[in-house]
Amino acid sequence: MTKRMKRFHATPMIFLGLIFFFTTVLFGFAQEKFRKSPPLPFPLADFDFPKIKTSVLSSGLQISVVKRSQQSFIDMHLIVMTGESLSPDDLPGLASFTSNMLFKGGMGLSASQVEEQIDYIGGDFSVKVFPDYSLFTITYLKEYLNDAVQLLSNLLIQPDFSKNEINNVKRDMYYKIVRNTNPELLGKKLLFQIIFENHPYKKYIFNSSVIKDLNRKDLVTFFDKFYRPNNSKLLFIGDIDLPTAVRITNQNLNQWEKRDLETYHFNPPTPKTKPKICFSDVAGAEQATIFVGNVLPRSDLHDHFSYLVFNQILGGSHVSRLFMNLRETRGYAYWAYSHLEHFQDCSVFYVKAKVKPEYLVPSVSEILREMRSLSQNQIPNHEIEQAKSYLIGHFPIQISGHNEFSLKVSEMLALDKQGIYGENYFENIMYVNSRTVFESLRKVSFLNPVVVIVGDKDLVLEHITALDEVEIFDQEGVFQYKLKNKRENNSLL
Amino acid sequence: MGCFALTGFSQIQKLEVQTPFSFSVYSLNNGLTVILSENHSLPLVTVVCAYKVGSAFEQDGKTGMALLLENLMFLGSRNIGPMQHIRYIHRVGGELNAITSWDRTIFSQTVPSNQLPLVLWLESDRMKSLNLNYTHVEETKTLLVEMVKNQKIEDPFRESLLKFNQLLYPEFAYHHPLTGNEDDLKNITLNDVRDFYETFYKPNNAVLCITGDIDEAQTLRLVRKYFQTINPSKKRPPAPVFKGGYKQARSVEVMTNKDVSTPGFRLGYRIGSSYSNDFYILSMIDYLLFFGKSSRLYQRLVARNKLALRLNGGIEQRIDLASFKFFVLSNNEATKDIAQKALFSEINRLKSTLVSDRELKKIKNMFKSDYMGHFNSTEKRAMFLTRYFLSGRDLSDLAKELDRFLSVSTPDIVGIMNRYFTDNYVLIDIRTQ
Repeated sequence: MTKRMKRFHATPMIFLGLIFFFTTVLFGFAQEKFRKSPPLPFPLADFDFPKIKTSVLSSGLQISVVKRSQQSFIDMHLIVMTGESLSPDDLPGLASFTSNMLFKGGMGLSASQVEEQIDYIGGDFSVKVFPDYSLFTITYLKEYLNDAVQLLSNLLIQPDFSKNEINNVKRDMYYKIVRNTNPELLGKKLLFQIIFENHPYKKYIFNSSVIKDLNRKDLVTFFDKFYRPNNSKLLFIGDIDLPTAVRITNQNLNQWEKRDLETYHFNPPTPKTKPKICFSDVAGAEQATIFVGNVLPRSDLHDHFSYLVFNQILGGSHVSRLFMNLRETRGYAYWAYSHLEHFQDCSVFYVKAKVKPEYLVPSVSEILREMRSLSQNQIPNHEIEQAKSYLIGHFPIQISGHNEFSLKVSEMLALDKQGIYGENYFENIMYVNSRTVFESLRKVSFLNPVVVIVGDKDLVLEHITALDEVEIFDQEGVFQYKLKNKRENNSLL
Repeated sequence: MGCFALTGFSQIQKLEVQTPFSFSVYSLNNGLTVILSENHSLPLVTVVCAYKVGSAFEQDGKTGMALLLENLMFLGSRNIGPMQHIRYIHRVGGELNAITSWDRTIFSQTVPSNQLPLVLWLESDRMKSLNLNYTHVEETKTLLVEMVKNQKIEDPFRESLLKFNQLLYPEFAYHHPLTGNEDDLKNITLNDVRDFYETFYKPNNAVLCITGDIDEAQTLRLVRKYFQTINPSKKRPPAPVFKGGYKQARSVEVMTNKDVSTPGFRLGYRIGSSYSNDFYILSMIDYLLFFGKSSRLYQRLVARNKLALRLNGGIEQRIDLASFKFFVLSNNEATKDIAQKALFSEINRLKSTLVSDRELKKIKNMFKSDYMGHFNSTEKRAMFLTRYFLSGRDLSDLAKELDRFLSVSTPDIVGIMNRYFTDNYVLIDIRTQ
């Protein structure tokens, strides 16, 4: 090919190149540069946790208000500072029974009339009982503030406790327990029963056999003793200020009499020092549900936030180690998370995972390995920073719904732990680093957890018994028998 | 209503609506509708990107396509790898969700407000250039087929529901299952999926709603940056085909099912569409019958006479029609028959007797409380505005909507009960073997 000929051919090539360039730009074959990588965020916005204003009435009742002007309804929470841990030792369940009876009539109103009145004020109500306190929530349209407090007053000052409703509540409680075949609920109950063994918190978990012993006499005694203004807190969240809340409460609850309260003290629960595996059979469960947990002793704020960051790294979300390892990398699990729950005298840390039965043993093994690895080595800084970033970003989401926000505030008041969610949340998270997590984790033991497995025994049991001794429980948490391990040198724990 | 100009937006409306919050509506040149609502109570932002497509838009023989696309939207686009969308959101502490129904597919994400650009980057990339390939389509089809099989095993009442929907909605568009039929799913090809995506998942068939801690002008600039160069679909998205109207022939069937342990029945009436004024009254009837512990059916069938082990139902809205459904499970055949008679007796009572003023006030208060609850988080507000827009109603009417519900009178209820709750119902009697 001659030079002349080459030149002759080069011109159309340049021309074609130009056409290609303009075509790609004009018709979108090339993309805008900004699409190629994620954009930078804006600066982090300020965040102030809503202020809680508090006043104490002469009756000893503590009134707290969180003002939310745009809210058309009010969440009213009555916190009675007595929970299941103060049920008599021979009558666990009495605190739950008492709380379930509160909305079942009073001052001449039947249970169905109470329900109708709550519906009438655009309301809803719920009852929750924890080891340390009992929580009653009524949500209603703000124009019915006075009606709602008056209704609460009727129920507290002159409760009905009719024989008919006692039977109804006992029946509901019984069926709720015996019909519960949800592996997640059963597993958590069994875990808490075992880690709170020999502690009053154990009464939080009771079985159906106690229901028959619950009676009106004990109910009245328990109610009289603990349902007192000087043992209670009343929280309003909504378009209401503290003076209004105090005035309306004083008007309606001035006959609610305070009484001297006995003080109860028990030592905080201690972590389990001997690991064990427990199993509960749920016929037909296609997956195995695993819980691995233990008690965390009472901690200061620095430790608390270190645990929070640790929990986030281990299993707090879809991007945490357990989820990525057990589900994304190995394909063992449908999901795997870890949680922290707070009580007056301790916290509980636990992992829960739903796995394919054939991967039960390697799943438990991986969970334990991840826990030990994180607690025995300093966690890389980038993981700590990623977890902190998640926690800071996620916290406002956690309180964005009014239910979630209400529950957080009532938990703060009930456990007197304003620091764990309060105004310095972001600063406390920022303070955490690899060293502080390591030091906080040295104070607790992750080496002796309780492992609870719930699943269909035909699918699951052969895998566990090949490795360890297993304690077998029925679905209500009643111990049945022990299975001895076959290969002693191959312990999972 | 005020207007102002901004490059890239063909039509700009700022609606001054007397709801507990204000919002603005814009439209991009490519047809994308943008709804913005500022709320600075928390440093959060919710971005909802919704498409006017659902199972009702599927063709016979290609059912399951909408749900398949919903899943594929997470398997990567030109600049974002498979499942990276989810990971990006989770890494910044955000939450996300996706919902496919008969007539819409909604993707929502709530993140710290400083991460708004990230979400717009993610959403625009999958709207502009979803990565559809043979492997992803086949893997997702397999997952959905597995899901359909599991549903058949796990829900013993699924079969009766499918039959019930066939009788209540003779239109193919609305009676086939959202999850699709197993054989249809297997037959879907990569080209089918590409065609569906190119038709429906484009800006002229979508709405972008952003609520929370945003600056409106800055947000509009970002929306324009990420979305305005996305081409609209070349063909106009087709609408589902309906027979229309609420008239329905009476149909009663018995189904015997060996997998169910308790007998029950399903009862359904076709009613006026959500566009009609009747809908406000029908919603109040829904509250009378089903809402709250003091509702008529809960009291009659559950609390007082213990006739039902399970009771649910209410209004089910489709695009231009709706139905009123009842589902009751009982302990045995005898209590089931009594429950059925009790239910018809409650319906007849509403047809012949005026509701008391107190009861009407009660249900209006409950309705108002629930209605206002739709705005109490950035996510709920975004979903509320998106759903309202997708329902086809005019957003400028939103301010009057609550009052329309609350102005329902007792004679209105009697009139509507007699119009829709006739003998032309669909009933499926579910018997145990």
